This record gives sequence, C-alpha cells and structure tokens, in this order.
Amino acid sequence: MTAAAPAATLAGPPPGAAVTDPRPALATDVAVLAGRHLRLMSRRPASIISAIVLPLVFALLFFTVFSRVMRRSGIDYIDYLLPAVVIQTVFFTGMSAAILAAEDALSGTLRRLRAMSVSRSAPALGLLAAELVRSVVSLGVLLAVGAALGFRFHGGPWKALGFPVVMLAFGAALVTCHIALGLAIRRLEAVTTATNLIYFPFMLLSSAFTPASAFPSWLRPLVEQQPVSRVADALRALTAQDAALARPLLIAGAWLLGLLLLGVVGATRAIGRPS
Amino acid sequence: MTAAVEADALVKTFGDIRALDGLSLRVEAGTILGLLGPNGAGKTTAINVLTTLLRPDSGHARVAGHDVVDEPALVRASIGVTGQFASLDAGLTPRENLVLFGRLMKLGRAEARRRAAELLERFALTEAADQRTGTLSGGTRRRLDLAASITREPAVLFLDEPTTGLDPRSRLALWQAVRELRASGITILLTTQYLEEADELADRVTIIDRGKVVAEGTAAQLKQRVGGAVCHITIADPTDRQLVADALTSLGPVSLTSDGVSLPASGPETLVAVVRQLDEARHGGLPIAQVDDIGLRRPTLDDVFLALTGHSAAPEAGAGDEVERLARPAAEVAS
Repeated sequence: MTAAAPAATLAGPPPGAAVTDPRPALATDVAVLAGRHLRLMSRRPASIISAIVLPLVFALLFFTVFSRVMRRSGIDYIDYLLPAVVIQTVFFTGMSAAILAAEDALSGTLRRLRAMSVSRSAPALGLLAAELVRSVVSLGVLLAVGAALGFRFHGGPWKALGFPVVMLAFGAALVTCHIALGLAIRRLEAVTTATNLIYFPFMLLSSAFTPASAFPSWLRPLVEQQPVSRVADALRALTAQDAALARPLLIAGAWLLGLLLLGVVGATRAIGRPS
Repeated sequence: MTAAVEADALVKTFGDIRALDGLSLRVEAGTILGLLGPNGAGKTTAINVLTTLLRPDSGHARVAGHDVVDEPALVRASIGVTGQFASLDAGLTPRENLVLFGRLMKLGRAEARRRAAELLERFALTEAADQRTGTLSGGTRRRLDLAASITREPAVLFLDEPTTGLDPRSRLALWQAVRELRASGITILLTTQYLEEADELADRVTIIDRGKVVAEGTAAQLKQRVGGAVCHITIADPTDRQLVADALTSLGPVSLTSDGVSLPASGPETLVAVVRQLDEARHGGLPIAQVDDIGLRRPTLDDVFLALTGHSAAPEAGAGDEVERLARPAAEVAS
C-alpha cells in the first residue's frame, strides 16, 4: 500500500531542474519587497491620507487652536509643535506597518514567500524600509507647511541634519515594534485596537504637544521620563539655537535602542511562527 | 524512473492530532501525482512538510533530490507552490505581480519583465495584464497564481487544491494549463478532493485518510477496486434505508450512505434488478414506505472511501480540518 521506495534509491535532481542559486540575496529581496509596499501604498487612499493628509490636518489644527495661548506663556508654538506632529506621524507610520504586516500574514503572502528562495527576514525588513521612505515623505510635507507657518531650524545646518536622523531612528524602532505586533496578532481589528492603545497614552501623556509643566505634579515625572517625551526633547534640542545637545540625544538614543531591541526580538519570534 | 518527490514515513502531530501518521509517497520525475483525500486527511500538512514550511516530527522527505529538513534552501530553489490561498497582490496588476515574482526569484529587471510578458501570453492573461488583480475573476487569478509559481521553471510544482471554488469552465481551463506544464517536463504534486480531477490530470493517485496512505495506483486501477458504476437508491427515512439494504443483499455488497443505499452496478441491468427486488420485497409484505430516487452514477471519492476504508469521506471532514487549522500556530517550523 505504501508508495515510497527505501531511502537508498533516492534520486538526484531530475533533468531539466532549474539551476538556481539557493542563497537568498538579502539586499535585493528587501529592495524588491520595499518597492512592492511603496507601490501598494501609493494606490491605497488610506495610506496616502495617513501619510500626508492627517499630519497636515493635525499640524494646522493644533497651530490654530494653541498658538495664541502658548505665545502668551512665551512659547513660539510652531517651533514647539513641529517635533510633536513629526512624532505623531511616526506613530501613524507604525500603525500602517502593523496593519500591512498582519495583512501579509493573513493573505498567505508570507507563507508563499517562505516557500521561496527569499531571505527569512526580508519581508519584515522590506516593510520597514518602505515605511521609512513613507515617513521621509511625511517629514517633507510637514517641514514645508511648518516653514510656511514660521518654523525654523535655529541651530544651524548640522543640527538640522540631525533632526531627520533622530526621526528615522524613532521610526525604525517604532515600526519594528509595530511589525512584531502585526505579525503576532494577525487579526486586523485587534491590531487596530492594540496600536491605538499604544498611541493614545504615549502621545497624550507626553511633553510632545504641551510642556510637562502643564500636567498635574504627580503625573509630571512619568510624562517627563517616557520615551515619546525624550524623543521630543532630542528633536527640540536639534531645532533650538543653543540648547545642550549631548544629554537629550543620549537619553533618547538609549530609549530607541531598547525599543528597537524589543521590536527585533518580537518580530523574530513572530516570523518563526507558522502562518 | 527517478523520483522527484519521495516521502518516507512522515509523522506530524498537532497536540493529540496525528495529521501525518507515517505518510509515504513517491512522485516520478515528469509525472503528475494526485494526492486525494477528504478535508482533514493531511493533504495540506503533507504539502507544508514537502515545501519546507513545517518540520516533520519524524520521517524523511526529499524533493528534487534535496532533503526538506537538512537542505531547505535547495528545496525552495527547486519548487513552485500555489494553492487555494490566492496570495497575489490584489492592488498590483498581473504584470506587476509576475515581475515581482521574477525579481524575488533573482531575475534581473529586464529579464523579469520579459518573463512576465511571456507568461502572460502563455496563460492567456494578456487582456487582463494591466488591470488590478483584485478585479479579476477567480479562475483568472488562479491561472495567474499558476503562472507566478513557474516564473523560474521549478523542478517540482505543488498545487494545493488548485480548482477548489472554481466554476466548471475555469476548472477546465486550469486543467489544460496544468497538462501543459507537465508536457514541459515539470513534476507536479496536486492535492484535490475531487476524484474527477485526479482522474483527469494525474498519472498516479495516492489516496490518504487520517494521515496515512490507504490506496495507491492509477485512477483506472482505483476505480476498478470500487467496481465502476454505482447504483444509488435515495431514501429519506433511515429505518427504510436499513430495510432496503436488507432486501438487496442478494445483489451485492450494499452500503449505507448519508442519504440512502449504494451498491456496485454492472450496468443498466442492475437498475432493473433493484426495482424487481424491491417490488418482490413489497409484495412479500416488507413495509418500504418511500424510495425517492434510483440511479446509476460514476464512483465518487466517497465511494472510493467506502470501498477502501469502510467509512465515508464526509462526516469527519469538517471537524478534522478545523483541528488541523487550529493546531497549526502551535507547531514548529523548519527554518
């Protein structure tokens, strides 16, 4: 009844077999898969809205509502606001990453890629690369509208160059965590809920939109210490004329390294799970 | 002949479920093997092991000459996989999807574009080539899926229920495409729930049930074991079924099915014999209330199962499938 012959008669590759290099080329795979995501995003209204329209709406909204109040307490609000909307944009990018990762897991795309000569980590890295490109686009839009509203880099070109670097580092850490989340949960509504549960407390209980001094005193230490505030501190130090730079950059860097590590461990574990 | 796929005593368990229970099979190079079985028989698990997606608990398998556990990268480089999960991007056009696969299979940009155009032509997809894949019909998408899986001519192609959910016309078109692939020298392992599909396409058929091989041979040989045509008497009432079965035992081995009674038929004369026998039984005082239908039909997978295993293919199907699906996330994967 059994069909198999003993193992001793196992054959070599049949004639006409494709001669293919079995070693996957990570860089090519990542580039090709990043291109796939960017193309899909460019055709997806929801992606365009969350990458370009929403950041603009929030920037204009917050500016309109708060700039006069803040000026009364001596703060030039557009300089204060821009790093905040940049951080918010990175959160939107993270949400997009979580959803796209879950979609690829649900649709069978990851399963199919895994049965091909494609590097194991390429799907996640390709999505990360695409999301970083997306956040550069968002940043460009925000800087343009910010400039129109009076935002300036007061610290010279070197500090100005550090600004996108810190933003992308934050993006890499946050997006990696969100990819891990999307791959681990794999249910679209649950992914949306989870990303909101991360976004709202971290964004609202931070010094991103309002100074820590505006929070009740018992909450202030938490608000000041949490990573989103620390990243905001670093971004603001890079836009200010003569702020101390080393300390905020180091603290933010330490947080981001920790977040990135968390994301990498989580994503690696989630990728190892069968679809 | 040489074997392009060879599995020896594969075992894979998910919790208490033995999805593969010592499965062995062999596909000769350049032929099509039909892996036939009901839902939950272990077909998809077998495919997952052979395509390096799952690591077997024990047993060995070689695909295109490479061990699936020890040389997964070489196996992946030699195979194409497609199936009921249509995993192409709905937001890309067929052409873009094919170029994407070409690039992932390490073709250069120009070469990937050239190959995509060639495949679109070959699979009659040129008309749909530049529409969004999501707007195409199920049959067209399945053909595209098939085209994508041979972007870089594989030695072995795995087709997991390639026509499930397709209308008859799309099914015929897909069968034709599969035949052409075999003609070009690709070895194909095809899973299906339809005896008819295995009959149409496969050189040899392996029937599995509960993770084990229950029969192996050509479709003709297997049908001979079932005995050609079947006479089926449809009876709504279960007690009547038993009465009718008892009345017909003299005509051959009668089996009870979910909606009536079946027995092997030699031809139209079996129909006449059945009617006569039932008439005699009635005259003899047997209270047979209602026979809904009597007819001859070609053997189905269910008949093959009844003949080979003594149990029907249908009842356990849903439950087994569910268990396999639920158990999968807990399992370990071959890296």
